[in-house]
Amino acid sequence: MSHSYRPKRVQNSGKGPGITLPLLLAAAAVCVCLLLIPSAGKSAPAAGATPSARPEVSPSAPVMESAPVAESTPAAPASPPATASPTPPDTASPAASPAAVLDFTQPVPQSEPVEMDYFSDALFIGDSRTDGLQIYSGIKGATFYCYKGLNIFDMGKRQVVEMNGGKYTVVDALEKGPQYKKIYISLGVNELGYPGTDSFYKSFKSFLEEVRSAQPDAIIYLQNLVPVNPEICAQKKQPSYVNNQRVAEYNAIFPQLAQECQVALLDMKSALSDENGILPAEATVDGVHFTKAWYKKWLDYLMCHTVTSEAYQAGQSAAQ
Amino acid sequence: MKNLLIRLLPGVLALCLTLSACGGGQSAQSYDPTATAKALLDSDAFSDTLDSLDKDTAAQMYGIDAATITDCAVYTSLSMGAEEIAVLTLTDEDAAKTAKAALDKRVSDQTAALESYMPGEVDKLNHAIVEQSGNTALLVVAADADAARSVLDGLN
Repeated sequence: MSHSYRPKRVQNSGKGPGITLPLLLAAAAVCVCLLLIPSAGKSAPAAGATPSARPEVSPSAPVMESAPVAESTPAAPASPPATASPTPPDTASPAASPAAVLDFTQPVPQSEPVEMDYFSDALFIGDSRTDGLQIYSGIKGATFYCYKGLNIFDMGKRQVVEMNGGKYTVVDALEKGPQYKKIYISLGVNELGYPGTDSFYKSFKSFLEEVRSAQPDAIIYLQNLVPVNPEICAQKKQPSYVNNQRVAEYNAIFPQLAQECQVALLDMKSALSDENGILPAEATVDGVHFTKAWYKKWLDYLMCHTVTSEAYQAGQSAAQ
Repeated sequence: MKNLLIRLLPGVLALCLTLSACGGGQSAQSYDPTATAKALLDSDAFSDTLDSLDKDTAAQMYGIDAATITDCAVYTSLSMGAEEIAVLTLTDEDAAKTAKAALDKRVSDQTAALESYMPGEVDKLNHAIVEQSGNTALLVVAADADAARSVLDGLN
């Protein structure tokens, strides 16, 4: 299914020709009244007065403490529409506008959809699923440090990032490469065969600390694991450890990591699995990777689950 | 008789040159991206499910300047395996040579990535078809390289 990215605001111009005459008559009546009673005009509120700013936060938002998010009220209808910032501009916010506070113990709630340029300063780190997001979802402008078979134990060992004519590990590339404002991490499928969960947890925590140290200004998004489709995995002879029991064991770790490392948790499991908690058959050809439609669905979710830098920083301050 | 032979000599030489140009080496074959990709996808050369990439994504993936691609049809594996089709029409022959080098690099990069991740896919890469002719460049990584070759030859 195709998806069109809607403009942030749609101007409603629903005036029909049938109401023109009554409006003119009403306007004339008002003018007559103002002429007859000069003091009446002064007491009327100005038509263009800005109403009290209301936060456009989803009513179901469980973790963003309600507060005005942005000042993007439709006060300037003549302004060009193209360059709307995906997040509240850092410098344009009046000091009186408190930022929301991100609760790291909960997944990022739904937010207003961002424009594609939101990803122009974003970095994605991941395995072949993230590779699929890069080539099939239609995402534009983002940078990808992804590689087939990449796992959390490779981050400081395997040179998979090509940069400036050289090859670097992900950790080295984070330290020596450009600084990003958002970093999305999706890893775990290639680690399912490792025994237990302790080494996964420790390595992931260590990596998140390295990411924060190397990219201190970035919002770090940690994506939990999308389940597999067991039937198709069996048909395609995927290794036996690629199963949803192992996925669930790893998914139990991500909230802990998000809370301890103060990073934003994205609940991709819920977004991309079906009512039975598995990857639907129509979403995959091999049980593990997604179809183009599912990669687009992944991108749609990311565009509707974003965090402002103010909320992210406020959450970190609150957690300390 | 001698005069007759001398008069015929230029014509005979020209005929020989024409025949040698047609018979040896690589034919100057250009591939229409859409038609070529469709013919390949309709064949039995592939065992994986492929889906299409847009021009900008393909250009980024291959490291080719998108401005030099005037038309293309690119399909890659939804299983993240090796099978792949890329038929590119470029602005000129130099750009096509650059694209061919990028496609060669793609094969070696894929080989490096898949040899530990999906070792069974590497043999397909060992039989990859990478060509450049005129202003076109082509990459085909198929389960059955011979079948893919037959499709390409049939387009001539």
